[in-house]
Amino acid sequence: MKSKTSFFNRTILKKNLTHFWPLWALYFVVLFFAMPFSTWQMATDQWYHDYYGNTGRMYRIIESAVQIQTEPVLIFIVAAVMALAVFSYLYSAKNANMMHALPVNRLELYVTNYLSGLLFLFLPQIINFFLTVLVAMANEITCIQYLFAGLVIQMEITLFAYSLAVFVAMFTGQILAMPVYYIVVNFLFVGCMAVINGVMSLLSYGVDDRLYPGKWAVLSPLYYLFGAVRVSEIYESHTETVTGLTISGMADATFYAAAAVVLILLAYRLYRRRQIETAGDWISIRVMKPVFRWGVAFCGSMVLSIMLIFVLRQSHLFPVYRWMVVCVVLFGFVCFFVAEMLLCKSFKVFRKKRLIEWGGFTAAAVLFLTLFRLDAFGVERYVPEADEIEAAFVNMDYQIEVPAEDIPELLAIHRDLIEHREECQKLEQEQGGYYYTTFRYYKKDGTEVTRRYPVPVTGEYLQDETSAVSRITAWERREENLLRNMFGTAYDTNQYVAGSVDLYNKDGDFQSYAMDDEEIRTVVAAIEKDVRAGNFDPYYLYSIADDVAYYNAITFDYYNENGREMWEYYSDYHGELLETSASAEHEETANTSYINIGPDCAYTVEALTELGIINDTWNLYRDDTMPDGVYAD
Amino acid sequence: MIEVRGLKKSFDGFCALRGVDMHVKKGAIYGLVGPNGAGKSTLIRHLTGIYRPDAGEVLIDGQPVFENKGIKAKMAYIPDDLFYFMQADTLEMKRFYEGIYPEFDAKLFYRMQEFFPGIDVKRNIRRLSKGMQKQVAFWLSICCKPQLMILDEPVDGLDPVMRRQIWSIIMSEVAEHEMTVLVSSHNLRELEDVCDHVGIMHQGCIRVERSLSDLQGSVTKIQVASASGMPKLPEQFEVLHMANTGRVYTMIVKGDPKEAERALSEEHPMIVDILPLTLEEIFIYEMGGADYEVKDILF
Repeated sequence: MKSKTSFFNRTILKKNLTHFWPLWALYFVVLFFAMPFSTWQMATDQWYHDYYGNTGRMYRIIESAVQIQTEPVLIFIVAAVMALAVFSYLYSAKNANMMHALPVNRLELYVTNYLSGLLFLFLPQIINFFLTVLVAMANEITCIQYLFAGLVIQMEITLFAYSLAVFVAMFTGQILAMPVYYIVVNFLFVGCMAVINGVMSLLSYGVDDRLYPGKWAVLSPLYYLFGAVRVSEIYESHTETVTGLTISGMADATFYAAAAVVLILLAYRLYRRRQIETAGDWISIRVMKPVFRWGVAFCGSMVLSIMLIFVLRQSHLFPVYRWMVVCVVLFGFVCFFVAEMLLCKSFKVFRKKRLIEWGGFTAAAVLFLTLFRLDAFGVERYVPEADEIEAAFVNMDYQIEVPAEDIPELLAIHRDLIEHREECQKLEQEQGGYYYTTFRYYKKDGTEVTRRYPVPVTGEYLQDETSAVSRITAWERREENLLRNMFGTAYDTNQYVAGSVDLYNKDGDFQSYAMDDEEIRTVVAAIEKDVRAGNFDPYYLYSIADDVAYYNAITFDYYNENGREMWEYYSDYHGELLETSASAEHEETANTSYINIGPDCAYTVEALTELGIINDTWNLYRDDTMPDGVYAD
Repeated sequence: MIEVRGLKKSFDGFCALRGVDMHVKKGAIYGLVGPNGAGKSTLIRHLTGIYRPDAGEVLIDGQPVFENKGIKAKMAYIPDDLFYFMQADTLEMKRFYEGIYPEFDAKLFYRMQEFFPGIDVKRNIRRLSKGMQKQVAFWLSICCKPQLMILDEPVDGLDPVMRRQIWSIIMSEVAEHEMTVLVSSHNLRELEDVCDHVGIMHQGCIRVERSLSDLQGSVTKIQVASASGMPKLPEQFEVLHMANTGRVYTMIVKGDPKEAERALSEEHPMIVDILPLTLEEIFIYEMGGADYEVKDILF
């Protein structure tokens, strides 16, 4: 008898619905309280109306609901639970045998179970969407289009997260392993990058452990979506009035939804090839077993070695390479055979074949470390060419964007520091006479290069005009660089909205004085005069200053559509983090300046005095007039 | 009905099936016997389409069984370790089987309820005793109206009355609907009563496969009382075992028993007695030939 081709089995769907109802019911309840119920509570709370006004209240209530809709962590967790439930029969031999002896083929089982799980996710989302819409409309909240956009993103992320969970579920026959693999897959790429960065930062001169996965972070879905999907308020220019919402990450969610289609097909292919007798095994796909052993051994040994060395390394004299090799051999042995024990479900794993394989792994791991140690990949020697660079920064005392015409000079300093590595490292080992300086290049191909070196700052270097410290300090003394550092990248067009000064009395009591618009203008002008006169150098050029510490601060809040705070511009030149941050539009224009001042800032002190902000009672902090131990935190 | 050719299966380097050949005719009751670890359950899981063969083929009704829902719809399988869904009662499992098996006979289910009076159909099956769970499995399987029933240790855990009840139901299905039954069990005395064909499995191979009557006809116990010493048989007979008490010799002989009797009579013994062997005895002597004999234990 030729069987009729079928993709779906209603009986299995019904069985799933009735057996796993607590799961989808719980998800429904969670969403219900977080969305329609919470919306109703906020909408009927007079406080929201009084505090935000009718329009602001409307957007903030909907924003709260959309944030729940698009929260990727919740979606990924629930998706994994559903996938685990509907494919749980693969993890018990009895259950797997029973299901596969039934007159249902694997295509039918796969499609039915896949759709069951998806239904468990989509149904609570759709029902709660409609309930929230009803609640919103009943409370005169009209901006429900955001809820719809939120639903689309929620369903796209759900499709991907669930498909990924099903794909991962096909790799194992062990119910405890599936959630572990799911977490690993979601962070595998950034995790590996962090491990390699960690190794490089320990073994390669000048390389720091800053993790910058860039667009490749898309390979770590939960990590990426956690940063990419955001709901933020749109503010009326230069005010705190909310005029709408923006939901970032829609394109990313669509991309992942498209990727889900590939995962669905791959997961089915794995299911078709799956050997049912692997129920209970940590790895169901035979070819993945060596990958599992080596992967666990590599990541485990590297992470444990890095952690141990970070704890043990108290000075720059610590023999990092030798310790890394010893740790990787030891931890590699432990991790390799723990992985083998999991695969074999036995403690008797020390067979000749595996010991030889472990030997191979150890040789490969030591070679990996040695290659970095010997700079076989040229990481230490690498300095980009000037024409490859879009923007260059140097950060000794504060972040400076080096103008295009000075980039060749910066690169020359960089090469010089590499050439004189032994001198620098000697000072580093002596623990004095150097100052860590970071070079950062944003390249035209979208990648980033960051290096960090101990720059000598002893007397002879300070007197030598060609030394690295002298040349970098010369840039730091330029007024536009210090002003950009203080007031942002477009400091001359800032619109200041608030300002305050930290003041102390003779008993050490502290207060923050709020300036009015006129006072702000006066003080900003005085600060600019002090910058031009070089009066701020003692408080900003720490590398060449004697031991000084000042706790006086003036703070300004300002708007500038064209400007960004310098540290943020330096850390995130392409604005990728900004795009994904909360209230992006608002954050983009609202900035804050924190300015350290001291007695040498004569113009500023004079202005503050003339304005009466500094007086006999309240003054700037002075070591000689304050009780011991008083300082502003 | 069942045809297995050159079936091989390994698990992580362990060879469980080493080229199994098996033939079961329609309407036969085939007893699959073998020592522990012989590969019986592995073979059964191939017959039910659960396992994918490494090599060889498993045909049911002339078609490969793996991933063939049409063929599987004609089969019912009762494993040794039963599985029921969590929280499921008998009625729920009945509804599940009804949706899965196209030939499921719901009226038969209710008609058969009288055969299983001790089972509360609304009670969680996992809370029933092992024997009752097995009864439920039979009940549901029979209602699937299978053309082939595969049973792995089927009556293990059932009381004698229920055993007889179950076998009686199976035998009537065989008689009325020409249902084929493949049963794996260590209870050889019971198999002897119900099976018409037997396959003896050892170390991943079917060593012997014959009808029970052939098997019992070809291996016999011969008792000879001879005054002239140890009786001798021509070379075409294989003597699986020989023991003597005084002048009485007991031999287990493979070959035509009548020919053996005639050959022995030529030596003019005092008595020649041909006795049929039980399946258990055949199994023990066959396994002895395959290096799986009962060892004498000395205390």
